[in-house]
Amino acid sequence: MKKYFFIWYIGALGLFLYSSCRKALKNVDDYLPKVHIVSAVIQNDGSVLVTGEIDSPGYSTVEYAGFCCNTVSQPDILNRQAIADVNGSTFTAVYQNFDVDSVYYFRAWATNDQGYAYGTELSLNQIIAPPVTPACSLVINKLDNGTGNATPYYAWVSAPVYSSQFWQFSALPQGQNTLYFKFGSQVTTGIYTTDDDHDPAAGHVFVEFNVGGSYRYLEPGTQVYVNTIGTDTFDITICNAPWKVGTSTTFSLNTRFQCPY
Amino acid sequence: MNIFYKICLLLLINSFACHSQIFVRAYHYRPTGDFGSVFKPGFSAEIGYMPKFEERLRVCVSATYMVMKPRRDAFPIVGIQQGTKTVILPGEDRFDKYNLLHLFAGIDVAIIKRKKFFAYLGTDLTVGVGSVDSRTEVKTLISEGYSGGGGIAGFRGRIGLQYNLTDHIGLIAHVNRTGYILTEPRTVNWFNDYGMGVRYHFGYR
Repeated sequence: MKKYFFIWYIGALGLFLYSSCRKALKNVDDYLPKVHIVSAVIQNDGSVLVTGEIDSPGYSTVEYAGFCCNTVSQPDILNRQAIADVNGSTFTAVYQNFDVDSVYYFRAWATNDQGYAYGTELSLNQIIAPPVTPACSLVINKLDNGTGNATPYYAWVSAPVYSSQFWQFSALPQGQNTLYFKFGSQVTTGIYTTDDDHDPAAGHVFVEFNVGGSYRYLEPGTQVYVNTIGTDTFDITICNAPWKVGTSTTFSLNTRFQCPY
Repeated sequence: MNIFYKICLLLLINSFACHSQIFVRAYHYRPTGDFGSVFKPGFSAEIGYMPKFEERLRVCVSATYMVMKPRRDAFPIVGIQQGTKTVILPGEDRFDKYNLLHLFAGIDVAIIKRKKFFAYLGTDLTVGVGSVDSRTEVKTLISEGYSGGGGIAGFRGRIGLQYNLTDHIGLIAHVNRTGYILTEPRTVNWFNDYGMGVRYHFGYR
């Protein structure tokens, strides 16, 4: 009887001593995730693709990873917070809307059930997309709508205004009717495609104008070249864009102008 | 802390009164598991009643007081704000006080029993109280403080050695593992401790 008691006693004690015996980590920072920024690359459309990497998940798995961004160093997690898409140990996010004259600081962060930690920081200045080269070479502030009534200049061009997920502006050529531009994404350096949809998708633009009392629009599929030439100022070129009167008569529009002007 | 001193005094008076045997043990404790991520290892002492091994079994009673020190001034935490867009809100947890009073009662079973030397395994039940002051802040979501505490109930397992220098004085060395529930704020905590002490017999053998 005594023997059985001892066996039970030692077994129970061993089980108890072993339970939840996860040693505390020596460095308290090791409980939190460790991340760093791999790169921040300016894309053709002027956005910035930020890539980070998880060096260590910490005490448990990473729940969220992302970036924050500010024009001062050491941005807080709430500054332009971007929750990234995590793919294995890599995570990425895209930032848009930059002031060309500012320096931007990007900082990685990650969370697990122990809390959150910041990673390394990376700065970028003069965030501007590489210029695009139009397929044609035109004089600035000129419109030729293909009807034989070319105009030497624009009277004015308004600045793009954001409204209901679209960026819109209008351009008034001297002696002709106004052209209306509706972009499906923010106007910045890049090549956009004309669309016959009044609500164009991102990367597309709907261009409409009045001829002979009827509204016409540029046929879909033509490229519109936009270059940023200053803060919220753009050089826009359209080469050989077809538009129709009725179903058979087709004209070709060429223009280049500064927006706003 | 006052309760701890009173209990120690009671144990001491009782030991004198019944020509009994007491022990004092200094030990180093190391929180483990989640408890170990929050609180630092530290030192404390235990005082109690520990009779000699008449047979292979003896009953022990003791008390200890632990002042837990957090590993950070503020622990970074996050709150998740769900809406049209998920936002990770930064915050922090602070522990201004986390003190524990443990009372232990249990048995030692001698595995090796010589004239002066004993090796034994021990188990205790523990009850006590915890006193906690903490604060949780998450930007725009939580701002709350907690001041209070709760009861403690748990177990302790032990491997021990004892060597009697004289008829009155013996040296002891213990390795303990303790697990307990603190009822408020509700947590299950574990820690190990390693320590040495002196056992003293006031009466005659």
